[in-house]
Amino acid sequence: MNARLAVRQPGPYEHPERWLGALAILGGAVWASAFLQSVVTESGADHSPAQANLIAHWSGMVMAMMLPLAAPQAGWLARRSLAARRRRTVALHALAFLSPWAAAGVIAFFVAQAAHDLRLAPTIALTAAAAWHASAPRRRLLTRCGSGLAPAILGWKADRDCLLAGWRAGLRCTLTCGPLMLPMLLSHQLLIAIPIVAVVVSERARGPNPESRAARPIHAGALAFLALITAG
Amino acid sequence: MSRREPDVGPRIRRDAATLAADSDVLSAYASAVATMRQIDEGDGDGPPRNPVGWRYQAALHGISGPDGQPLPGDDLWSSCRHFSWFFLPWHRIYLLRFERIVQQHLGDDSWSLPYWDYTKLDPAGRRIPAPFRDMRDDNPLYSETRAADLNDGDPIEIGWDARGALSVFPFSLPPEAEATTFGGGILEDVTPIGRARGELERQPHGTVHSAVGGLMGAFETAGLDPLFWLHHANIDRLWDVWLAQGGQNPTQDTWLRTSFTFYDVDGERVPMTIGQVVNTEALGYRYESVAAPAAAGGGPLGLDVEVKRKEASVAAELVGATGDVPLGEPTTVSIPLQPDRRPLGLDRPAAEERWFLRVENITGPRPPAAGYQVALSAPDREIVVGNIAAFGIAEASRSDAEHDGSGLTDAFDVSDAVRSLQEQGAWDQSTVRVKLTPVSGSGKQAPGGEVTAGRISIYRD
Repeated sequence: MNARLAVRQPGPYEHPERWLGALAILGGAVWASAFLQSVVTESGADHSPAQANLIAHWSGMVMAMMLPLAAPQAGWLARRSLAARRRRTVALHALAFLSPWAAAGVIAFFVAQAAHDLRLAPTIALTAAAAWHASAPRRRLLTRCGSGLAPAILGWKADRDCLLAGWRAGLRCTLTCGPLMLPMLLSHQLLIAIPIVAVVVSERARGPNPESRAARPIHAGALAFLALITAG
Repeated sequence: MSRREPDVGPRIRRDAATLAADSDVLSAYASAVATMRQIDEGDGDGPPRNPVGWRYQAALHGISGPDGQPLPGDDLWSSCRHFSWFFLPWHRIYLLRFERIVQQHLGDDSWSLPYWDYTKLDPAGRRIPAPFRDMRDDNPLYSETRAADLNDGDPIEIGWDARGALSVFPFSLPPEAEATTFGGGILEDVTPIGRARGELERQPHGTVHSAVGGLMGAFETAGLDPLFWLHHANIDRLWDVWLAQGGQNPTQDTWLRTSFTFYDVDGERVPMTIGQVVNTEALGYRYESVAAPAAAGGGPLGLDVEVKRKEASVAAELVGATGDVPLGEPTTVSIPLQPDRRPLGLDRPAAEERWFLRVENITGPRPPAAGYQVALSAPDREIVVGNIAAFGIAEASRSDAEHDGSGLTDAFDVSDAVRSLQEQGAWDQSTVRVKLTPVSGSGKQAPGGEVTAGRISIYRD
């Protein structure tokens, strides 16, 4: 046998997707600030949802929760791009990934405004999210969120492939997790936000039996239980 | 046959080539196959119903309906694990349960599944074992669906060599890595990103499946050919050969704690974790030989090849690629090499450079060819670096509940071939030419079908 060759570890420059983490932290800060603002508003005389607050709430939630989910695919694409194009790859992917979320945000914005006076709105949204959570189409979407098609490496084709990959991932992600975000937007309550964050994080956590963990009934059960609590 | 007391010590899975044609082991196997097929007769034309029957056992690997999609009926059907680090342990447990069922049918706890060792350099050793080629109507081991020349006794000519796979020493690498692995890419995520199959799964596993052809050529029918089980016993043995060469299994909890469920002899579902099956002797069996295939000239690279230790490369850099390459006919693609813009100080000495060729997102229906021979090409010479097995292309192209249909990806460590071209003065620093030729199991050029490679890439570390 020949001598072993040294194993070179990838350097930081080979992981340009890591700045998405910084963006997610920024999103977390925006989200926390929107939460605080909601508490102040709810305790005051004016109960109407501030439009700016709703937008900040949605944007912060999406950035804080969804960009970390997009980072692995962005990193995978970056590693399959020329070194000189890696930052561009990640930026295009992130931009396209966030587009469906922005479109969903517009819908969520109007739903939140229309449902503001409906006390059971979070309960209804949670019930719908629970029903959707364990369904076969959602499982299908979830297992495909990270689809891996190697991009072209130069020119407009490379840009197109990165945008398409980000758009597809963003669309699947919006359909998969969007219904979970709506109850958080409608309720502005930590009691609801924390369990939902736990569901999103735990269902995608790395672990054994990855091919049988998608859309587990326990998660749908947890959401249904949460819906019951909010109804009471 | 009377039930014997279990032997002291592990049972021995023997090389089918060294067993006499009328050996007890093979005649008992033929008898068990016949019994299991009799069980199937109760199912009529419907789906299999008895877990200890022949079709049911094959269905655990794969079964499809008239529409070509996996047939529903039992959540354990079509549950074979391919294209990841679960490939080897899933098939080990599958064989173990199958072997127990055969023992039950025979009433003999000491019977052991033999293996078909086609990795021998002597062509005579690469023939399908004689009892499987005996064309008598009442021979349960014969399948007329196999490639005719192999059933006639010709040796398998492509993709039989395991020395390339046995040279690769990371069992697994994360999905973002570009290098080759022995056992397949790490899979821990519910939402997996594209990954390459392991070297052993590509060749000889996949190439032998495709070279034999017929039932063996597709996931959903492979287990129906009695030869399938001996082929996979050999793949399972090669895992032990690799370990004996110094290979190390993954130590991640996510791998060791993953479990797979199969039916036991009484039809009960029994889960087993990978951690329970990493040691064959603890499972009650060992292989007659775990010696590495002998070193000799004329290996897969056309060079003097022996089993050489190649460590992981986890930071290779993309230096060139070309897209959408149809594989239906022999084709040569030129890949311009881009400047490598890594920071100064990260370059290896030329003698230690590692080069990888990745054929990514291979999609299409099952082709007539058994595979695609891949070679680095220079104006007056070419160096074959391996084969893409056709086995799995159609399945990886299918969009279903667990797969997005983005195709399969094969990685080749072409460092030795590049160095050889460099030494011969035939290396072009600006362009790499890659030749892909569709071939049959006997090594002849064959129609490549409507298969396309989404991208062919060159990486350097």
